[in-house]
Amino acid sequence: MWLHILKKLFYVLLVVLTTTAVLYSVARLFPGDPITVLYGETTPSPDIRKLLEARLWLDKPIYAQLLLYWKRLFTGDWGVSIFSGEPVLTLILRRYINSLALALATTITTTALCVLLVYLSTVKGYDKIFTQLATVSTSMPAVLWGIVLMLVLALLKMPIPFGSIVMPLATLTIAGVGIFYTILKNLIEKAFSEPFIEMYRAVGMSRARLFIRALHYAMPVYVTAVLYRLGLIVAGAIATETLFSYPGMGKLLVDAFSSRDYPVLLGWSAMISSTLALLNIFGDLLHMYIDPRIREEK
Amino acid sequence: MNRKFLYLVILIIIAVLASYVSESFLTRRGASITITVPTTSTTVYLLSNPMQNATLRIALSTDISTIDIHYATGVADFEVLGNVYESLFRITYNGSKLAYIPWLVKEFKQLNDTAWLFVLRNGIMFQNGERLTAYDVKASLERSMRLSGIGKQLLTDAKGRPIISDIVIINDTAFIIMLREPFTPLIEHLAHLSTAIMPRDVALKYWNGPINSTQDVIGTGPFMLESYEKGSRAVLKRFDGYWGRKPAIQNLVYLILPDANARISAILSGSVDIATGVSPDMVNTLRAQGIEVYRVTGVRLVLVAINCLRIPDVRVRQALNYAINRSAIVKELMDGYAQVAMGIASPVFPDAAVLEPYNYNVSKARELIEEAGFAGKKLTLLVSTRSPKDVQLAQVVQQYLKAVGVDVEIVQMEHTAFLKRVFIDHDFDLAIYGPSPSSLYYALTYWRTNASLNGPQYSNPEVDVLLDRIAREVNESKRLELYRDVQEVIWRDAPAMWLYFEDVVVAARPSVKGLQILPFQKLVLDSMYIG
Repeated sequence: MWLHILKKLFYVLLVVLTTTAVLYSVARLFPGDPITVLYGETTPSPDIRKLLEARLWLDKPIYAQLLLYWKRLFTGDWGVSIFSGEPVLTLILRRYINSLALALATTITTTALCVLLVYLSTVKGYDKIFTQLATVSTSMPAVLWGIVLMLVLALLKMPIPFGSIVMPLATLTIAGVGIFYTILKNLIEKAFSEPFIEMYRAVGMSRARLFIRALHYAMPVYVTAVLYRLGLIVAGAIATETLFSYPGMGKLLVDAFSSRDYPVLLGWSAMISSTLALLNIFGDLLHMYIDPRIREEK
Repeated sequence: MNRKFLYLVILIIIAVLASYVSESFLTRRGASITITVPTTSTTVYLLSNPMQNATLRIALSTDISTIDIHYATGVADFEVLGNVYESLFRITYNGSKLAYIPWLVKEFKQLNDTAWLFVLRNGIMFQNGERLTAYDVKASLERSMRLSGIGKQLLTDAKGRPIISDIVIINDTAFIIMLREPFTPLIEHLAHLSTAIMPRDVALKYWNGPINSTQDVIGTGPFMLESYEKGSRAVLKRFDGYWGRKPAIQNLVYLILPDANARISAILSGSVDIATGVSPDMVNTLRAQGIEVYRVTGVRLVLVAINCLRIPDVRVRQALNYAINRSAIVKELMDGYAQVAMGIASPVFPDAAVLEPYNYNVSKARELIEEAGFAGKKLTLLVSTRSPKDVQLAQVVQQYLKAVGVDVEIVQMEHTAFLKRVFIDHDFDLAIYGPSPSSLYYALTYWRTNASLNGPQYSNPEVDVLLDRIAREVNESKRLELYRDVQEVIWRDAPAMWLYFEDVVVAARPSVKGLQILPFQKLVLDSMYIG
């Protein structure tokens, strides 16, 4: 067990090193550097350019730059943003908490809604309406739902809370509920056809209690799917964040890349790759916890 | 009541809602709505602003790229930081022409050809509580010349030497700017925010690179930068020690909303008071909803740069100019919210020349191309993906050039990569961009040999000589003549397809009073208040 976790942690480290290396190389090979961004259509005099290059390590070969960044990552000094001067660690933590809050809140609202809707459809029999609504929900990408929500608010002359979590949360919930409703409903229906449920039914268990049993049965697969989406939102719901100017990780990545803010870019990739890898491990452990069969295998 | 019926009702409601939403926002309304254009010239000057504790929220289409005024390059940079910083002179606009008026300077006098005496106003305070002195001015101007890309362009001559040889301080408030050679556009250039004044210790602290702490964003302007969250918002607070007329509003919040729909929804719903970067096709919708739309002739000249090293034949470059129907582009692409380029500098600049137009003439263009043996050539057209309008324009240009026998391949690029390709590597045939100069002379220096803004690497010794002569010519009418000559030469040499001057379109809620707009898409909040 401990060896298993240790192995996994080593794997996290490897993931972090590779992703930072890949992202940094891509950013460096992409034409234009922070000095180009800084000067826009104008150009600095050669000696000023040299000065800035030396300060940003751009005068060294890429692998040396990467080694320097790695060294910094693991000593806890993540440097400062080239443009705002804010320490990368504070910046990233603030954005990360915003994204995490959004991801968790979305997961909770989506799951609560899904369970309620699936309960209503499988136990109470409102199947058709919800299936149609689910199709409507999945028919548009999240950002389009965001625009629709925004336009509706504008029409109703209701102030749009830009920068707050409300709008992205509503958008991602609406866009996500359709797909997770479909997943959960299929899982529950499959459970209802399983012999053990038949057995419970035969002993006279109510439909509501049967639903709880089926839900337990469906959880492992559902949780895997939900965690995957949670990871995606933490990494950045780029379009939705941009639309409502919500300061999350997605907007941070886009801005860091387009302004070639390398320290922020590196910080982003280290944070996100380790989160995704840890989430993966967490998913496995959770799986073990809720599915006794896997627990016993290990 | 059966379920099918309920489901049908829900679907119908959604459909109606969707069509209403899309119709009122996404389609253009007919021209039946009467339009009143509030112009910026009709500003009621109040004796004093009603001091309000209100917050003004402004939606911007792009983020600021820096917090250092000397590194400011984009429209948003000057919009936000222009509230914090001020220059020695200031650019004003009366509705038809720009003017350059003393600002931090109380009086100034030209002592001889190369020496100008300036006296600062009394009692100007920086936002850190220190008094503005001539020492701050000296350090700021020197830093601007040293670090600022635009400052360098404004204050260096053709050979790249600084035009200012020294700044001699007489006392706390008086100083003399010593020039290497006479330089007539000096005042205009000291009005640019890239030469803004900051405290001496800040200028020296960041002598070798950009300011990287919001604590050090200190100017003499009416607002202080309180916080800045990249990609999201910048918050400014009124500076109560401001020397000039204090603004009526207490807080200024800039929201960064790159999505055009978001900006429109924001202003319609009252989430913001002012929205910049309004697309012309939304104007009627906004007005129908009671939003005021301001329109000002802009300085941004949208052009297609022609790489002069790759296309050295002037006949071809002129042919490309004849191949374009500018008025059709202005009418169709810009909904009329632009002025067809009649010269290489916006008509808002004093002394901008109106030149003989390149009338749309396909046969003439074909003839010139045949004559130059350029028929059937294939060219690449670079365009930055930052502006959707530019990408549309690229497609229109492609069609026009196809009609005269020039095949164009459009290459879309991310903005920073685009800047590098065009302004550093000069690796392109054609490229779409739009310089926004602050003075006529500055607009012309773009076309000087080896100028950093000279993307197409145009070089004509005659232009360089004329620009030098303008800088030296003290006689105003002679200078005017030279200005006309140099504009004529560049216009005829056609290092670019000159297209149009984009109008600045800003939307504001009716409660916003006394708003003024400069042709640089800069809001002037001096006499603004919430009514």
